[in-house]
Amino acid sequence: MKSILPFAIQIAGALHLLVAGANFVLPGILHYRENLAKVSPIIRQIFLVHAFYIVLVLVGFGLLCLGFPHELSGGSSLGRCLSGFLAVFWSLRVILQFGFYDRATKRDHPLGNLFFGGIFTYFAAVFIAATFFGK
Amino acid sequence: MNTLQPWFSLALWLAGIGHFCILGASFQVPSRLGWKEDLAKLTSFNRKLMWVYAGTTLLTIIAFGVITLLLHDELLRGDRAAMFLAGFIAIFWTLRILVDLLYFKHADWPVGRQFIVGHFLLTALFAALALTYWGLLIWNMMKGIS
Repeated sequence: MKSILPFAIQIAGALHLLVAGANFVLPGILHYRENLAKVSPIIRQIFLVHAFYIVLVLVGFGLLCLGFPHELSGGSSLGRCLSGFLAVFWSLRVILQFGFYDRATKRDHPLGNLFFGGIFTYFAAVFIAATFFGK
Repeated sequence: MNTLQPWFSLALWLAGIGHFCILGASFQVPSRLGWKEDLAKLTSFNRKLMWVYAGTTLLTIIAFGVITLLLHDELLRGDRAAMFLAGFIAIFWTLRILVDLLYFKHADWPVGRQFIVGHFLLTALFAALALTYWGLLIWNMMKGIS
């Protein structure tokens, strides 16, 4: 377990960048433009800024995983603390993916649901392992 | 170089607390800007997406605060991973100031003195946070050189 953790974290790093990239495709699939035209300008601006920040955070997490896999797998107190945060972050995201988003939309996009749900579950599992079973 | 250490130590404690002050403002945003009424115009999925985006951003800010307070000594010591983190937080808050200056249209914001004061205080806090983490990063890089 301990020896494969850094590698699993590096895979997670690459997947974070993949998810960040997928966020550039989502606006078209989910019709952001048409939807956001209905709300007030300030809400539209805040929505887009949040979406931008999600991509920024995903890129940050991705680079962290690619650059510091040994620290994140328990090599330092900082690394373990960051893994703990990532474990909480992705566990909550898994719960939201499966329990909060509309079933109808997920049924309309089964591959997208599987793609995101699967990757988020992998992230949660890796960082829970890194937090509790790292060296 | 080491004469700056007590200042950065204090700045980091304040930065950690500062992140929690932002939460106080963040929790007021939905009601003050009437999110409930406005977001009702979106499809259910996009509405939920907005809440998830907002929650995720909030969680990230909480993490910045907790990590800064818990790992104060590591950040001050300037380990590689700690400096990556400091750089990331610095970029996060610098971009937030740029978004405010270049993207948000202030004519669209609600009017009133409380919004002007709140906006000024928040922007000042973002600037202080950005400066703290940039300063820490540069100081640790200089320590490494000297």
